[in-house]
Amino acid sequence: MTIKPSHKVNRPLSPHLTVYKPQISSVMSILHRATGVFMALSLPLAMCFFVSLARGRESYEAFLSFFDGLFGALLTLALVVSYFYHLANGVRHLCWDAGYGYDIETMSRSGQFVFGVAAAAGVVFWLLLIF
Amino acid sequence: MQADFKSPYKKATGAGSNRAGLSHWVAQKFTAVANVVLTLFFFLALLGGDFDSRVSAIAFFRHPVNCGLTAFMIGSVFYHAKLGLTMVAEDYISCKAGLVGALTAVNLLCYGGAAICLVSLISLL
Repeated sequence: MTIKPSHKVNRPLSPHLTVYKPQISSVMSILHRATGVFMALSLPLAMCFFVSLARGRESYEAFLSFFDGLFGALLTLALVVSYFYHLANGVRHLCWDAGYGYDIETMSRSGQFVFGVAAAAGVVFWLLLIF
Repeated sequence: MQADFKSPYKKATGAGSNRAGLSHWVAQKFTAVANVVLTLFFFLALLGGDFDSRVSAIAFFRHPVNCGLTAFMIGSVFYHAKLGLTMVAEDYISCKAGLVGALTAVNLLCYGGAAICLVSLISLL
């Protein structure tokens, strides 16, 4: 009798993403990555800010006018909410690194707190920015 | 015939962190803490100051403390982004060529972007 290597045995697969019940832990983890990637890919906007500021008044005003329209306002809202989510959840991660907040109850509560901070601070900051 | 010519020691050193795997994790944490302080400082300054006018924006960056903290923030933010994007790319891209391409793009974006931002900032002085 030959023994198959474990990866060739037709085992049942573990629950896949499509059938996996979303939990606050997993959803917040992937959101942390998504907001991080989104902000990182928006860094060229920060580059445009500094470059246009260095280039002169016209290019700086052209840069600012990019944010005047609806698209600019919505992009700003998405970036600001992402920023506060990633910030608050990042602090949550640093607390875990320091050894605090591991039990399920605390993890769930701190997660809800992060959602609250992201929504409230994000919207308030956005309103202050655009007006 | 011997299938591979690596000694057991070489095989073991190729499989694990060899004491260098922790450094990027630690760097991610330190840049994270720096980002909390520096980006909050920067965005609050952005809200409080008059950045619609280029003249007053430049006046803000000409203050040595503001300029220094902004330069520090640029380095910290871009390096944190580089570490994060690298981790995400390594986790989700299984094709070797795709991974090399993605990591090249990440490095160009982050180091090139940081250089452009810093040089622009310095040119304001």
